[in-house]
Amino acid sequence: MLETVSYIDQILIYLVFGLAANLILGYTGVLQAAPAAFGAFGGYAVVYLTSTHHWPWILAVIVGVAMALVAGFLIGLPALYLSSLWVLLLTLAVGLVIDSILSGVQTFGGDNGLQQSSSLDLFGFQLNEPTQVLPLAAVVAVIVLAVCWRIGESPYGRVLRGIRADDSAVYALGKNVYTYKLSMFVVTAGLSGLGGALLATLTNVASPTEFNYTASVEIIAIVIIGGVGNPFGTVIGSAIVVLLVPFFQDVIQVTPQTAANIQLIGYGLVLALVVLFRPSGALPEGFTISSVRSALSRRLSSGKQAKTPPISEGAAERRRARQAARNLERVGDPAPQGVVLDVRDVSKAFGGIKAVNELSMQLQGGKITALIGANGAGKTTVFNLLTGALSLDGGEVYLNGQNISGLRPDQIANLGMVRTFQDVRLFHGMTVLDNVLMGVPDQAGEHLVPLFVRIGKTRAREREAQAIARRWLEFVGLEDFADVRVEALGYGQQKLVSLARILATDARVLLLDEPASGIDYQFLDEMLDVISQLRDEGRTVCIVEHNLDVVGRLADHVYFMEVGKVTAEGNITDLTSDERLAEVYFGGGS
Amino acid sequence: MTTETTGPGETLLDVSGLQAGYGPKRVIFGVDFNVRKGEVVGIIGHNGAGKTTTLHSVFGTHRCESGKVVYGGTDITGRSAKKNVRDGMTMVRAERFTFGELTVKENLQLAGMSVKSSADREARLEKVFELLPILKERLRQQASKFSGGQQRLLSVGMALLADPKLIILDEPSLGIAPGLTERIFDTVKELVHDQGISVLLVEQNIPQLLRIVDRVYVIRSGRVILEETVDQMRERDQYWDLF
Repeated sequence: MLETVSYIDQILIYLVFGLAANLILGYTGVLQAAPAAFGAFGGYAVVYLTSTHHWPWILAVIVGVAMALVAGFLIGLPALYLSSLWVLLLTLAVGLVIDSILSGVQTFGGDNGLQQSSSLDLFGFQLNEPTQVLPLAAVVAVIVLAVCWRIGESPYGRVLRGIRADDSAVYALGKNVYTYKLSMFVVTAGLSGLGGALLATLTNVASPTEFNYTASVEIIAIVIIGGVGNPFGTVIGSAIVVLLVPFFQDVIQVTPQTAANIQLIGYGLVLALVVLFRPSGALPEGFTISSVRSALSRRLSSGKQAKTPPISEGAAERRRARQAARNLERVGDPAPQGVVLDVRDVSKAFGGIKAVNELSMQLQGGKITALIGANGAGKTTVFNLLTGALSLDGGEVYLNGQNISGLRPDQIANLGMVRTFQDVRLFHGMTVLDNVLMGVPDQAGEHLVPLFVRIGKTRAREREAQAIARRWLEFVGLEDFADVRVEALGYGQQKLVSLARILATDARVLLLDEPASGIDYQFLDEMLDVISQLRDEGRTVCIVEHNLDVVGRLADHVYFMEVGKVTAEGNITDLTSDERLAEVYFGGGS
Repeated sequence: MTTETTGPGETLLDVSGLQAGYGPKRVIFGVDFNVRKGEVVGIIGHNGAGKTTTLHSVFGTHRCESGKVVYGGTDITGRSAKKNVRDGMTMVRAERFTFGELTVKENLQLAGMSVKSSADREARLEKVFELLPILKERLRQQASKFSGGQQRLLSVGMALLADPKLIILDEPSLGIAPGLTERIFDTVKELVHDQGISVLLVEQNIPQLLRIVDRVYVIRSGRVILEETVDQMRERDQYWDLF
């Protein structure tokens, strides 16, 4: 009986560790390789402070969690500037360092760790036996589950999943990816500290083996087996990993010693089987009770065959899109006069190749400017420089008179200049609607404090954001696809989603990288209408485009680029009639 | 679709009743078409009509739910892309598809591995260099350092190198400068003419497409709604009603 309760305690405590790790590994996609190590702060603080200094248990836990938070912050601060692989290596190293310090320093009891010598209690409730720890572990696990669920299944979690899919695209939509990653790194560390405190309370010992590399592997196994990005899956993962030991002892009937020895092989096997046969884990991301219920009701209502949402029916869809375009509410701002974006002598070299060489250009307010040129002329690099995705080697960029050189992509996006990508870069694994929602600015639910403090406001703002996103989807004629995952769409449709996504940002300066490529013959016309309408609304647009028909119909002014420089400018007729340019770029038949 | 007698040769690819989709969402509903030897066949249709899914289902990179794909007289329905490539199929995807970590030269070497005779391989390589001189100039550059359009050029070059019997091209003009698009299409036509290979082409740039195709299928909402020869298609003054 006591043993059973002890296992339930362990499941609940490892659930806390697993949920914390799922936030950083599962939702955010940051490879934090030492989730157990941060538990040591909680575990050692509890045993050391209560045994040696006779602190109250709760105070020791608070200190332990605070230390874990501070450690998470100090390690995350430099680590999260690094690319994913380096974060993995760095956290692995941190785990090893913490393990070595714990084993090597006598104050921490060396390899044997610290033994609990005081009786523990919380507000008069004893915490010395597994049965006494059970209610506390249950309450903490449920609270942590609720917190992680709230973070993960909210606009905040949507941003985290976006970061996991493509962090530079998240930056380009005006969100500071680094802050999100750092927040989750710190929250994970703090929750792991809490898990460590509970574990030490249960076992009455704080030892290196509870928080070493092997323990981290167990926690990562919990996340993967349960389902990456699904907190309820973590419950299953935790149960499987914890119950593997009694499974060996009582079902297969090996000695406790052998069970401990083959335990790791067991984790490895289960992990390998999951990765091979069910890579999304026991409960895949997005798999919730309500999603199962709605899938079931869909199936029941449409008989045997699952209902297929209507696929764009040519003419009808076009009509709707056109109508939506007309109904689009006009933004009141008058068209800005004069130069909105002033690019002065910008340069960028990659190794020996000067991709952009002292290039200057200007975007006039409320006009469409086109940037054309041969493949490799440096057009996309110019967009990358203007939006801060690449740093400038030289020159300056002014947006509405403000020098934006050296600003981060999210800062530039928030100043009102956003871009689309030539290779689309939607957030895979997310629905069409969620992709567009990522563009909607000022969402209360995308920040941790309002997410927990102003729940009503968060919900109301999410409804507004959904309405905005759906309106833009309607605008591009994809409202029927709102709940479809983006990777199931064709290239042209993905382009339209990416356009809807930046339109949702409400930015006044739009840089569109090949907006017409891959768009079908008829919708091209709608697309041109959409872009012209954006100009009529007073937005300033710059397009990179190879379709000269599109350039001719849209652009008020055209810059022609060759090897990183603007070599000609004017209207498209002037440029196409230039013999030399026809030779190097336009070709005979176009 | 019935095979007409006006075509250049015997049927190389015959697709009938092809159905495919994503989870519960069906995207193509019984698509029928064929490609004969030495023929360029175009598929056009609106965004989301199912063109790319059709190509992937034929090539073996997407699961067919039902229907039949016969290639060179063999039923290859559901066969892996690996086997199809060995059998002379090659595909240029709509997304960029090069090996970013490898150099241009290594990318081309990989693509040319299926060409057995080294003389033949050299001749093909020369042809690719003639068409796309930038590849020759930048042989030692890492593919990922190329611009988006240049990577597409490399992927087209790789497809031309592979000694294919059937080239599947998914929107080859995406992101490629207009003059160059014309030259790439001309080269495809030349290869078809000189070597009798077949081409299955999805392209939104219809004027360019009509320069090189023999026949066109129009797909709307996952079904083939029309098959026309290029001459019939050219007589249309606009293609709007097809979408």
